[in-house]
Amino acid sequence: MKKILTLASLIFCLGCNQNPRKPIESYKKDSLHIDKYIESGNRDSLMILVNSLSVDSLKLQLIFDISYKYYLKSDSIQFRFWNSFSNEIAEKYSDSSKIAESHWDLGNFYNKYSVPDSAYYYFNNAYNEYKRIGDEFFSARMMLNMAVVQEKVKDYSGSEVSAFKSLPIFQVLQKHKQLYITYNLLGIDYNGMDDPVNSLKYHNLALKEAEQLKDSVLASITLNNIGVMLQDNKKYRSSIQYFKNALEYDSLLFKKPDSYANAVDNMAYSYFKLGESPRIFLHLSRKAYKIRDSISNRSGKIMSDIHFGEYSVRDGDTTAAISYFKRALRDSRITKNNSHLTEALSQLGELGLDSSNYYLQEYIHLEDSLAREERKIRNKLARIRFETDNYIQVTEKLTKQRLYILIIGVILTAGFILAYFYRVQKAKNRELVFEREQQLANEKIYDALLKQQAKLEQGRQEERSRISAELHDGILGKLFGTRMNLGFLFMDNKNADPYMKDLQEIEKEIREISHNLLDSLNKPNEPFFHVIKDYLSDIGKSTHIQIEFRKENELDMEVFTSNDQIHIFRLIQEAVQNIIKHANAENILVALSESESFLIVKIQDDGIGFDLKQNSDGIGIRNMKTRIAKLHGEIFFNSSKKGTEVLLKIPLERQCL
Amino acid sequence: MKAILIDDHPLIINAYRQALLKTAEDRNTHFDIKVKKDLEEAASLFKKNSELIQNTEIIFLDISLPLGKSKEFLSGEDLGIKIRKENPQIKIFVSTSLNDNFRMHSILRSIDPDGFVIKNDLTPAELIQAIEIVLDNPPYYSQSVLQLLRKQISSDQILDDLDRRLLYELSIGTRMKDIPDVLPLSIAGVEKRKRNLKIIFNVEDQGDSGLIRVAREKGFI
Repeated sequence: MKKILTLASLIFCLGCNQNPRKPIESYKKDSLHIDKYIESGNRDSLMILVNSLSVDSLKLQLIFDISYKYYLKSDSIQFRFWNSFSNEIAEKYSDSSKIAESHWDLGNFYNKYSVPDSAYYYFNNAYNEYKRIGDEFFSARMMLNMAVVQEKVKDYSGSEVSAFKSLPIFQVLQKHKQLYITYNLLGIDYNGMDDPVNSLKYHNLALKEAEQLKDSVLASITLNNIGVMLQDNKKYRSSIQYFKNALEYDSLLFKKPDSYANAVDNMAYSYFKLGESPRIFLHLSRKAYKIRDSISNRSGKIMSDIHFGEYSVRDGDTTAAISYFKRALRDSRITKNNSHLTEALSQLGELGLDSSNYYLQEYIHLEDSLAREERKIRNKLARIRFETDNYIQVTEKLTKQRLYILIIGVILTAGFILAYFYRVQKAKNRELVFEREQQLANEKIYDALLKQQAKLEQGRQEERSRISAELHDGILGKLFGTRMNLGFLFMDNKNADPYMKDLQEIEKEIREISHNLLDSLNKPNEPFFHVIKDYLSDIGKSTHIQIEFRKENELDMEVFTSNDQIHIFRLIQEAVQNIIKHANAENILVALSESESFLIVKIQDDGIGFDLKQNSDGIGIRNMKTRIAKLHGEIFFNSSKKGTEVLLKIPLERQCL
Repeated sequence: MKAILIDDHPLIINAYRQALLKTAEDRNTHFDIKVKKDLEEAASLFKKNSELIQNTEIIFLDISLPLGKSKEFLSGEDLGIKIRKENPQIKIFVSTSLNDNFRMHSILRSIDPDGFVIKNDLTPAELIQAIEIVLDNPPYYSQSVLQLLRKQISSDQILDDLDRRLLYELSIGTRMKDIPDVLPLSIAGVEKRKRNLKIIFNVEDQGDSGLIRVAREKGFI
């Protein structure tokens, strides 16, 4: 059995219209003008007033107030204009709270004009905005508004979910008004879901809140709602009690006459359903009708007509019934109230008239299309919710994604930079390693050169030794023997004397030659000097610089190991290279000498000289310094515009072994 | 009279023979000559109960003799030393073709020969004369030896054995790094001695060859 909830679902959109607004008295001096302009719809003047305000927040406030006034006046065109303007300006000032408020107002507007999907959509926008700026209370209020819209489209479970979303916040913040509305709504939702137990539970909670608020109107509305719920569950007698209690608040008649009339009519209907006291029913229902008529409560009057019709049917007065139902039908078509419409159609259909079929068909048709509509809207709301959720999810995902991408990007960039530096370092290292290897190879070559020279020399010496020995041991001996024997033979022959003497001379000469051969052994230093001489002559040939090489006669390089000799050679080479590269010289002198147990090497040129005070040494000079240190010696530079002199002082004795 | 000739050159042996013949003629005697041609044969002279060495008047000794199989004597000098020690009465006549002041000095000191001739100095007449003098009134030194002795006596520098040997090694071209193997000196020690010698000989600013030159002049090598 479908329920007529119209009377019960008087949901006070208390929250909807109440905003913590500053009264328009803020613009005291202009307030009269403002009202006048609003009345006349003089947009331009209002605009001028708005622009005349210098403070942004006041400007925005004025725009909101204007739009609210038009809302109250139900001037949809003006409201739409000022509301969209308020949204535009709020966006301009990036005032998130006001942006949300503009959505809120628009939601209210659509709610008022029964466009539930748009209302829901804008409430949802406002909810998201409030949530974004962290305003829990207002976002909860928007959620509540959405719950209200859902209830309106009979999405009871959806409404329940939304209501429960907002409930905790109201509980924490102890917002009793909102708690009342929420509990009230939940009571209605559970009634719609055929859960009388929970419905009663939440209505009682709402009653408690009403008592907290000391609001008798709210309390009586709740009692009325409980009564309706009981009535729906056919608990007519208990429902009457509740209706009576609701009516006990006498100020209800003045404060909310439509609620008063509802309660009265409901009570009447319960009596009707009980089948008792028709007179009480008639009395009450007529009373209700009078009140409704006086306040032009069309919707209420339709209910009254339907009830009268039902009564007439019971009474057997079909004609009256038909006329009541038809009136109800007509009025509900005018007011476009579908639930009343379906009720009227259903009643007419059940009358069993000729036209009943027609009514029944329309009823079925209407029911179906209503059901379809409701489903469509429920889906739409769900979609809006889902899309929003989805949108939020996607946004979150994107934000997270963007963060990940950023992090990865940074890491990658860092990685690339590191890799680049690593490569550069590696290349440098390789270069250095290569240089060192080259150096080592060079040193090996020179070592081999020196050794080769030494071997050559040694070979020569050995040759000489051999020849010397042969001359001395072999030939001399034989010659002497022969001379002596000949001498004895010719002892008495004076003519032989000069020849004997000659032979003796020859012997002497051979001996001297033999000695001289050995003598020239005293030159063990040739290889080193050979290498230097060859190198210098090569340089001289290739660069056309005059190079002179001097060495002290008795210089003995034997004290130096071949490694050290290489170092000395390299030092000379380095110095000569420097001269060729930088000095622009014509003459170079390389002189080796010995002085007080030091080997002195002098490399002199007549070039342009260089700056001795240079703080950082070039690689060449650094190498030289390293080498001279290895030899435990010292290096001195002397330079002027006329030339440069490099002096190496190397100790002959290796005391630091 | 008995004479022993120790030399590896047959020509020289023959020369000695002729000289001894002439000498014998002049003295109306006869030389009983025994020849040994290397150190090993010479070693047999010193075998126990060897009759060879008894009654020998004179031994002609060549310093540079080839070694035999047994290395009992390493040089003619060693042989000479042994002869002098065991049979001091025998006259030792050293002849050598060495013209090395150092060696000559060494031989004079170690063997103290009765006759010391440098082969190059000799003529047949001088040889005969030398033998005569060695037999009757030793010593006989040939010209070169006399010159050496003169230099040595006139020089007032005192060099010890090690100095002489060092100078000798240097003169024959032994490398600095090899000298410690031959002499009981470190390289530093060698340097020090060289420096001292240069100071002694007044050749401080000259290199090694200057030192050797002076040492040669002075007859040390």
